[in-house]
This record gives sequence, C-alpha cells and structure tokens, in this order.
Amino acid sequence: MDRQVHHGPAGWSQGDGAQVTAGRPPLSAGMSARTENEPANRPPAVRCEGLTKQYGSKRALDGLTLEVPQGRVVGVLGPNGAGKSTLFRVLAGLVQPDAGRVEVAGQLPGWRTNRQIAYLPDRARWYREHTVRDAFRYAEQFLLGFQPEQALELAAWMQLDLDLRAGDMSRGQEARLMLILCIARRVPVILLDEPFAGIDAVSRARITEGLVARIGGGETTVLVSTHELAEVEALFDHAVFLNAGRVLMQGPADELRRRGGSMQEIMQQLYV
Amino acid sequence: MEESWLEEGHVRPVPLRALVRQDFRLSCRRPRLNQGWWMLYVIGVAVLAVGFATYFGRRGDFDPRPVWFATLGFVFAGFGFGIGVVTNEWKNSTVGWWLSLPVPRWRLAASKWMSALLRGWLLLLVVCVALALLGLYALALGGRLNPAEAARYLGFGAAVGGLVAAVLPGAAAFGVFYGAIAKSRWRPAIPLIWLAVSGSWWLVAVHHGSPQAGAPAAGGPDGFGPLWTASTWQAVLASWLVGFGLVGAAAHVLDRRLQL
Repeated sequence: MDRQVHHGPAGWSQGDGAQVTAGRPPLSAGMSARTENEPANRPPAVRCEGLTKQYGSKRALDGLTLEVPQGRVVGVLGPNGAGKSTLFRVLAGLVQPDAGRVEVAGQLPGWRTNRQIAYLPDRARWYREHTVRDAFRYAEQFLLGFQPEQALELAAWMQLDLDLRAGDMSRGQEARLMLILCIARRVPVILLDEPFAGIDAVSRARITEGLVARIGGGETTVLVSTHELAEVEALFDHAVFLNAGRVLMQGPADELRRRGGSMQEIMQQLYV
Repeated sequence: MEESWLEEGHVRPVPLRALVRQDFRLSCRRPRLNQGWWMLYVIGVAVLAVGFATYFGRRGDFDPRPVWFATLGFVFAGFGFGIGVVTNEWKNSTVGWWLSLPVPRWRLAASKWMSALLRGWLLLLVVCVALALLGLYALALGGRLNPAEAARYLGFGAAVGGLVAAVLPGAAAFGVFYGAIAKSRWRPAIPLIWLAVSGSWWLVAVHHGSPQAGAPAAGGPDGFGPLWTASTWQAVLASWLVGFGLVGAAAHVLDRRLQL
C-alpha cells in the first residue's frame, strides 16, 4: 500500500477547510478532494475538525478531522472500537463531542439538522408493535422528507409484508424495514450505521439491492459503516478508514482499490 | 445546502400531540403475556375484589371509604410510568430513532411526561370506577345503600382520587427526570437525588407535621379530616412547578449529558 495516498487526519481538506497542499503528500488527480465537475463552492456534507469524544478512560474519537463532499456514497470502515458509531452519533446529534467542531449540511448537529439527516442507528430495533404499514405512517408523521410511495415500492422489492409486525419479524426483515425508513427519505445526508449487523446472507443481498436501487448518483450523501464489505464495497465512491478515533486513510474508492486492492484487502493491510 | 432542501417543502413541525399519542401507545402496551394468561390475571383480580367486597359488605358495619386510599399507590405508579416511558427506549433499542427525531429535546421530554401522566390518569380512572362500584355493592349487601351513604362514599373517593390525580404530574415528571438521569453521565448522582428527596420530605414533615396532614387523618366529624385544605392546594401547586422544572431538567440531560 502506498501510504502517500492519504494519511492521518488530513483528508479531502485540512481542518480549516483549505485544500491539502504544502507540507502534505501531493494528491494524484484521482485522489483529489473534489472531482473536476463538482462546483468548488458546494459546502461539504460533513465536516469534522479535531473531534474528540471520551467515554470514561476510553477515547472514542481522538482529534478526528474529516471532510465529506456532497453527493457521495462513503464507506466508513474500521475495526470494532475504531470510532465509527461514535462519529455517526455525533453527526446525528445524539451525543455532544468533548472538543472539536462538526458540521452536517453546513450546520451544527442537533434536532434541527436532523430534519436533513436519515439516521439508521447501530444495533437498533424497530417498535415491535408496529406493522410495516404503521412504521410507514410513523415515518410520514415524524421523519421529514419521507416518501411513502418510494417506501411501498421498496417494501415490495424487499419482500416485506405490509401487515407484518416488527415483533414477529426475523432480524433480516426488521433490518430491511429500518433501511427503507432511511432510504425512502429525501434528505441531503443518510447515515447508515452497520445496516447489515446480524443479518443473514439472503437479507444482506436484498438490502444491498435496495441500496443500489435507491442511493448514489444523486445529491444525497450517504455514509455507510459496515463490516460486511464484500456485498457493499462496490457502492462506495469514497472510503474512510478509522482507527482509534482517528482517520487512518481516506480517498476515492477507485483510487484506493487501484493502489491497495479491494476494501477488504486494504482493511487487512491496515489493521491486521 | 439547507435552503435548497427546505424550499422544497420538506420542513414541517412535528406536533406535540402526535408525539404524545405515539408515546402513549407505546407506554400502554401490555406486558409480554399471551391472551390466555392476561385474561386469567384480570379474572383473578376481579374475583378477589368481588370476594372481599362480598365478605365485608355482608358484615353490615363495614365502612368502605378507606379502600380509596389504595389509589395512593398511583403516586408511586406515576413515578414508575415516568421512568419506564424513558428507559424503555433503551430497553427496546429504539433510543437512536427517538433521539434523532427532528424535534427539540424539551418536546421529547414533555411528550414522555404527558404520556406517562395520561396513562396514570387513565388507570386511576379505571380503578376509581371499579372501587366506586365495589363500594356501592358492599353498601348494598349491608343494607346501607341510600343516597346519603352513597354520596359520602363517592365524595370521599372523589377527594382522595382527585388528590392523587393532582400530584401525579409531579410524580411522573420525577420519573421522567430519573429515567433520563439513569441513562446519563450524571447517573452517579442518583443517591444524591434520593438524599435530596428524603431531606425535602423530612423538612416538610418537620414544618407541617406529617406530609399527609390535611390529608386523611382520624378525628374529623365522620372519621376523616378534610383532604383539600389550603396547604393541600399549595403542595399540589408546588409539585406542579417542581414537575415542570424536572421535565426541563430531563430535556437538558437528554440533550447534553447522555451516555450512549
């Protein structure tokens, strides 16, 4: 692996938003922060600067600096404890960072920003007395930008019976439901934290098909944290590798693959 | 970025009423018992209650009014409902969905409080109706069912039940606050909270006699003192004010102090 690709907390930009230039390894054309046809004045979908979050003696985020351009599908990768879920919780406004600065869709995370974020929490379950239909009604009422027609299409696509109660669903069916509740929303940012955790291969394939059908190629920025790389790595435009609360490596997925092989292989090179 | 998405009509406020309805439905869901067991428990409690009413009613000299004091348990139940309605989000692994709703935390806390309160009031009403019917049944069995006796029994029930209903908002608010604290970085402060509650209770007792003074006490013209005195009103008002403060404090904890 050519470690000149992208190193440390510097990523698409420095902490102050300036492009990486002097004092940093030069970025190849394929690894630049923004593609040539992307307007330079588009604010990043996510910007973190020196983000720190401590739980007792454990530092979950350790000065994490990251900038994610709009309209990308970004894999947020790393081993357990790398800080992925903490990062997502900070972005969704569930927890406050101890230090550093964070912006999502140009705003500080919080309930107002959550109007623009679809967030699938880690290890989440759905309300067990809700049927799929109830869940869609809930989403219409509470989750801004939710598009019921899209949700119904996705439910049919993912073979979810509308009258099935979440409490009677398999883990895979429940995961499909929760994914639909996120990706059937028209919002600038979607955060999917371990959407495949504990899901069987058949359901993973269905969910991936749903993701392929729905995300990417639009204005929406999607951050996906997962250990199930085999199925989804083709989705990623970009990848961010975290370790011990810091960005270890990041960049456009094609360029990373060209230099380091598949995401799985890069993971092995970085962490094993 | 925001304007372009906002302009397309994606922003509409989430009404508090909708949140309360959702939380109320969740808080009222039955324990995980199948229908048969559930019915068995309901029938068992009903048979016991009617059995007791029959036994005491047939004695003839039975004054059923003290049974209304059973409703005092709803003060503690209200506290429990408040805790449960918050901590169930963690227990059911739905906390991420709940806290990422595009709704200010004060509204989330207020909704939990209102749903716990509604649940408490609804159950209290059901229990009061049941106690009213059982008491009248006992009076009838003893041959003492007349308008004066019925009014005396029901009036006393209304006073006790009304008092319990009036303090439920404070109890439920304390539960919501306690539930939020239990899931926050301030969890180690829980013993301090209990010390503060015990201390306040003791102070009230020292300054006003028993905290139940003005509430049921023997020695009145018909065996019970007046329940609704000026100090009762003051205490109820104070519990509401403290309750509002606790809901606000719970919102702050949910916003800034959570341990997730």
